[in-house]
Amino acid sequence: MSWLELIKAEFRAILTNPAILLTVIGGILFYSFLYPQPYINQIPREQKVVLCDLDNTPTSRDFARKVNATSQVKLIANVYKKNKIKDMIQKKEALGYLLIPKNFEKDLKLQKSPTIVYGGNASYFLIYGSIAEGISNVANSFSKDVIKLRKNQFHKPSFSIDNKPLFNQTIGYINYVIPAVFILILHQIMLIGAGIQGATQTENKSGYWLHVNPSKLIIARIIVYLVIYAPIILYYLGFCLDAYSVPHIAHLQNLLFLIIPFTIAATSFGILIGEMIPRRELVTFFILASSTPLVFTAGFIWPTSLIPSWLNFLVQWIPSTPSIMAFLKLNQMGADLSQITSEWLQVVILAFLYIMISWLTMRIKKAKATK
Amino acid sequence: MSFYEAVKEELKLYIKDKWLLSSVLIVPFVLFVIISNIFGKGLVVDLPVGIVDFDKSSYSRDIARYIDGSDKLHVKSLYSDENRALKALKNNEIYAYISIPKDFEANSKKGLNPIISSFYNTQFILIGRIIDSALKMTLWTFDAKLSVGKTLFKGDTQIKQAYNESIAFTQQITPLYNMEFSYAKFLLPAIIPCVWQILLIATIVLNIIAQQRETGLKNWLKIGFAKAFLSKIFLHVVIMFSWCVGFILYFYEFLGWNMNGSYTYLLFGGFLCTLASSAVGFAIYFSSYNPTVALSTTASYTASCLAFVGVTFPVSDMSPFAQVWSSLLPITHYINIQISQANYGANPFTTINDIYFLLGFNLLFAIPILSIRLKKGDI
Repeated sequence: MSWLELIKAEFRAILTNPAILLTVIGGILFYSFLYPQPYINQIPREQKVVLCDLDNTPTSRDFARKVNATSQVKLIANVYKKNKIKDMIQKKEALGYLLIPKNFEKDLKLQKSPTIVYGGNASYFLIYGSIAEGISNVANSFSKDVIKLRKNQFHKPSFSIDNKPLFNQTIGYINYVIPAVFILILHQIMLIGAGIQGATQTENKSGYWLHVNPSKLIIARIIVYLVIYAPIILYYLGFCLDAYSVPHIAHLQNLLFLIIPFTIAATSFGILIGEMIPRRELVTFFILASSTPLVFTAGFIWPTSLIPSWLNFLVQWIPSTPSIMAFLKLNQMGADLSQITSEWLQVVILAFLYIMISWLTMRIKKAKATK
Repeated sequence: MSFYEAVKEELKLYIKDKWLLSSVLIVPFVLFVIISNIFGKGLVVDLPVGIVDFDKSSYSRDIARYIDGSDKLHVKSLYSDENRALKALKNNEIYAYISIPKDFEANSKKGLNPIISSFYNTQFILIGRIIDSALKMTLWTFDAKLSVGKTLFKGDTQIKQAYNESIAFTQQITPLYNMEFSYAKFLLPAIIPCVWQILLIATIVLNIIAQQRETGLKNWLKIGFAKAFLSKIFLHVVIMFSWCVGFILYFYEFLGWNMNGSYTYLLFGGFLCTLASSAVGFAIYFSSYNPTVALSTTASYTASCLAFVGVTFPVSDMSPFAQVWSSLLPITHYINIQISQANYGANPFTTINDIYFLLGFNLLFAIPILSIRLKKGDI
């Protein structure tokens, strides 16, 4: 079989396999729509907080007003009994609370340092985080203003703090989740595509692939997938990221420098999976099952340094792990190529490794078949 | 054939297909072990940050010491200029850097209120938020202590009083239902049920595929519709519901997290979720009769469920479409029940709607029944 014939045969095998088409094309389109849906509105704003103002003085009302003015918090009610707070939180009428103690104003004047108490339903961390952030920012600047008004405090040394978010300056969830998850989706779909093809051929037991040298077959298959995935990658990392207003900083050539070895690594890993797993539906099953652990070990949600080392070691063998980090560095954080060298090398080594193991597996299978 | 024999046949199917057997026994175990290990105790410690010190004064050194002393932060390196710090940030060596301006100590003593800037990586939102609040807390404390005066590090008894004078009022922040502020306690009760959800549907689909391959669906249905369905669902529910019992015991007994409500009601919710997922799995397979299509549909439907259940991102802030999609996943309702029981110890009646939803999923069993009827058993 000539190279051209082989490549044609490979194209035909993929494009006439409804299972691959449905999973790859259908999956790609469906996910590009579905996954960003929860985050379309970006940051959770105006969370419902119940106020319990036991002081009810101009100062306490001023404080409450400032809290209400933040983008994170919306005071929904003022209750005068502490146990009403818990009740409202359990019924989800409020997600957080703010308690201003009795004699707040008086104690401030007497410099007796009263305590304001606030909190939120930490079953939902994101909500809790934005409530705590909103109230603590107000509390700290309020405290500073009170101090400034006290005469005896004038010449004490002091400074201000300015914390600036970098790379995802709006602290938007889309920018946080989507770039990383899109790389994982591409990865999983590449595994499923090549995996289903391999399993289909194992199930069919005869065909052109048995008469071709395995090394030639693998190379042809990777070339074909590169061609098929090119528009898909452009759609995901170009069109979709644009449509969801995710910034992309990386230059196209730098991106290609990463994405091409990534595609080769994922496809060759997929080819290997297709050789190992005997049935098509099992390929999808195992790749589906692996998705959640891969997201949480990729290092963008939970710090890599806190992941147990045995687990971190295991996931380094999956092409998605270094690829996600390298992509985030390049495209979201504006790193240059020299700063992704280690991840890039890792992806390239994995590509070689999986090509070699697939080749060995195919040869062994072939030798067994001819016996 | 009696129901008992039908269940035995079902058991034989699992034993014959080792892949199917491992999908309900080994795969859940491995996934649960991996996921519960990712977060460890769930407490964030020693996140690496950098410092650019243009002042090189005793204040700036104190600040570095203060930051390093915070249990959440760790000063990994000192940089001579901001470019290097930024490079390290882009390289993911540090998650933030703090820039202390020239003449910081002198200006702050003069009351000129110099500014300490810090830059933190919000590409990783969860990590960024922790860094932001830990830095603010540390620097505010340092600021407050500075104004106390020179007795700063000498453990003077007047410090507390002076400290009080410098901060007007104190703040007490309470993360309700997760007092130790553990990320494991926040994420695991959502991630593990979501993985369970994926497996619940995928394994019943794999089971029907195995049935089709081993005996053909027609032969399987020979024992009668009800018996065939019930025996399959029965064994699947027994196995998969055991995993639910397993992770509930793991959370609330082994890890000792608070269980403020009713185990019975929570388990009832878990049971209904298992059954509802079987209904979804049956509906998925009998809509196409094609193994690969069925598994692909399962993947499309379940793979993203964690994003939709509302724990990591509030349902109330989602788009209307996402809110509807969220309610169409059985696990959303299970997690609502879990939170209301374990955390709030709420009256079961408050989550009665989730029970109705879970029961409602059983209507999906109509799809296989209708589809088989329409094909007049020719499947």
